[in-house]
Amino acid sequence: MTGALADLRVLEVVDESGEYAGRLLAGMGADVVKVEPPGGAPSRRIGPFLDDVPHPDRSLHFWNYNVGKRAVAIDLDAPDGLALLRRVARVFDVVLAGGPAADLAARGVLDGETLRRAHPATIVVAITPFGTTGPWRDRPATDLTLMALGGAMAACGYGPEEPPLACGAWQAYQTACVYAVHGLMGAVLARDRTGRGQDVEVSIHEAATSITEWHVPQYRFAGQVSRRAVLGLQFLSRDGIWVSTIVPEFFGPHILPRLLELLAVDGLEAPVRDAAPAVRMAAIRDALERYCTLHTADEVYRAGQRAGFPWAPIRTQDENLEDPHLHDRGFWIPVRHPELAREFLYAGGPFVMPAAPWRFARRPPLVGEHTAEVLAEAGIDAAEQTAFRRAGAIA
Amino acid sequence: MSEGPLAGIRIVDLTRLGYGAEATALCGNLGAEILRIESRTRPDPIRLMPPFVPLPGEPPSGEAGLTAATVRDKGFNRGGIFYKYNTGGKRSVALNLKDPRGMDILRRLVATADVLTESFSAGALERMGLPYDELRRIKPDIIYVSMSGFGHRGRDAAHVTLGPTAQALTGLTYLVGLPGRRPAGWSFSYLDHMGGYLGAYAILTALHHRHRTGEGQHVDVSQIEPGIPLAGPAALDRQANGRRYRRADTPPGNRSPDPPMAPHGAYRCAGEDEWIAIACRDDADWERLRRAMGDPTWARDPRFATVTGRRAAEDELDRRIGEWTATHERYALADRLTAAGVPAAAVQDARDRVERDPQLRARDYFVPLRHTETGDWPLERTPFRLSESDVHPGGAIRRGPPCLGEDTREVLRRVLGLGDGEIDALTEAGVLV
Repeated sequence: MTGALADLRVLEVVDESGEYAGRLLAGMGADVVKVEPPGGAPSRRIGPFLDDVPHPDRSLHFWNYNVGKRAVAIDLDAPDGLALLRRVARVFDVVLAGGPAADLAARGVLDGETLRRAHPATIVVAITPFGTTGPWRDRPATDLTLMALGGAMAACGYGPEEPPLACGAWQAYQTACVYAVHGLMGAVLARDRTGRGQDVEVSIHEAATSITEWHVPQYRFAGQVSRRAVLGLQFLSRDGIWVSTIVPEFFGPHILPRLLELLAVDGLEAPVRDAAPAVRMAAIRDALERYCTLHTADEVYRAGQRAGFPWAPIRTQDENLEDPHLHDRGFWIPVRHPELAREFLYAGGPFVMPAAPWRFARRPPLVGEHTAEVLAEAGIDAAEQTAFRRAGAIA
Repeated sequence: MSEGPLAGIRIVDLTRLGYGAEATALCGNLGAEILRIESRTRPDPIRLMPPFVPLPGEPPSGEAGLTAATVRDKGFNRGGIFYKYNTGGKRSVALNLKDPRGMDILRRLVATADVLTESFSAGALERMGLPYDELRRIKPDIIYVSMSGFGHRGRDAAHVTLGPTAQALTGLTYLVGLPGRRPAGWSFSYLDHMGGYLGAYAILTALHHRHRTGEGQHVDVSQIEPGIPLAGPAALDRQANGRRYRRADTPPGNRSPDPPMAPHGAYRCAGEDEWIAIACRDDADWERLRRAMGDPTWARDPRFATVTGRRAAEDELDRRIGEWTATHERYALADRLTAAGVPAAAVQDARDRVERDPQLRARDYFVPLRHTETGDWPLERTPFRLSESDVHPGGAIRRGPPCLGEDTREVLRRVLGLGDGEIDALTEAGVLV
């Protein structure tokens, strides 16, 4: 069985903001080839590192975002670098470009029209901080500043006395990458019917703006602005782990009686029947707080879920490595790193797709590991590769 | 501009709440026809949740005294969160699935569909008499996308989630906060969006797979798995270095240990609770910031010349920068800093995004769309655009979110060929409610 996207050849020419898109495509079977400078992509310098030894082939950050891809090292600043990139691009049917709009234009990879003159099916996806139009088009930005503009930061934090909080791990970039694969899949499905490719443009700023649930409706419809606050009903368990214990009364009239039953096992009571909502919430809060001190986080989680409540311990990502349910679903994917004689579990796909399972064809690439083979696939023979090497376009 | 990329694709949509609905909304934006199956007997809870939508001429609903009960009485069409999750020109078909005749109509719709989506608890659709095998019998190449909390396979398949549940488990809640403090977490359901968007990716990739192979399939989406990869490389760090992410120096708050950047945070500006985010990616950005601040004496301290030094003295660095920003208006300061080449941005709330953000305005991010009952309201566009295909928050029919049952008659006539007499009879019998 091959992946659902096994027919896609994707050339990835992105900075750190676009790498998650390539990962999402690689896991679905696309042949994703990453273009990086001869010294390695900048994201290879981001820690943590294997054995805490900084090295371009040991960045766990890079591994996380680039598993399953191949890599070709081309110096785009060398005299023939861009010409080489354009030649390589011709054998790909998707170009995934990412970075500041001005940089993309300078690299010439955005020019879908030219690429399509030779190959009408070519799709070019550009992920930029603000899109390619508008007054902020050329502004420098990072994930932090884009999350600030998007609204998530203003709504995260401990309260009015303390600063708005970033959301960690590059959520603006990752959100934009998910939209990028939507746009790309739209273009692919259109191409399935028409045979023609097109350009896809993604704004990270807009992506980060789209993820704040009720906040924009609340302002538009109710004239109210959400401020940062800690979500309610999170309590410390007996083993010192915070637990999220939402009580969704909208699930139905059975919810409150079931909560009372759960609490009664420990002799806890909450005067909820016939109480006004505010009184009821306060009583529930007090009882749950006591309940959590009596149990481990896992006990609260399991007991709550058994009773039908959407409760969960506040885990760290790595604490899910032991989760039996995720193992049942084959979520963690073993990937062999032959040169290290080790295997690592990588976070797998966002869903289980039996007819075209998520997999990673290879571990993350070493710096420029596939340069010779990718150039050969582009019809650039050994003699010509030597010439490019002499000119400094490849290492 | 030609039609949407999913023109001609029909999705029969049984999703509710945010996460499931978000997946089909995305497909509607891409031009798919979404037939949302709903019922007044068991309405989607977000049709009854605040904020409520005022009618033209009414004051903002914060002052209008609308409640879930009054909104129900008014016909379920005033729930504001519903507007966020149900773009894409979705149509609403009112169908009582407790009635066998309702189930029969559902089956007949499935027979015409490319995709069936639902976000029930695992096993619920099966108990309603529509396991995947049966769906396949009705429509051999059907793409069935289930979107339950924990997925259908696996020992905890019966577990349930809302956005905060999934965020807690995946590590996303833990990421937001200050070291040594309780998790601050997300005050909203980020994974309703991201879970839904990855559900959309399931639909889109399965459609392409069907194009290549002719096969449909059951895609088993959960709200957990989309979130775990979003929480960084902690699982690899644990395996490679034996280091757990739950430790005294995590989460880093606004600071950036990997890659090391400083300053990297939110700083108070002039005004009531107004802030600016500033990030210096490298020493060159710091030099630019230093000059933009007017080259103050404190910033010439050699400790601050390198990112290692700035990270080591970050408390002092942040305090100094905060003293400077506190005298400036946030947007003007962001203009100045970005002109100097330093990444900086006002921390925007919902009002700022709607009323001030010039970039969103220039790019027509908010698109006014007609809602049959409440009039024109701006809805959010997808953050991507295609050069040759139509993508629009109003879908192919250029309409806002549907009123409950708004399209029942139109769909039953056009798709199933029912006559008005039959439809009237079914309505009278309580099947189309």
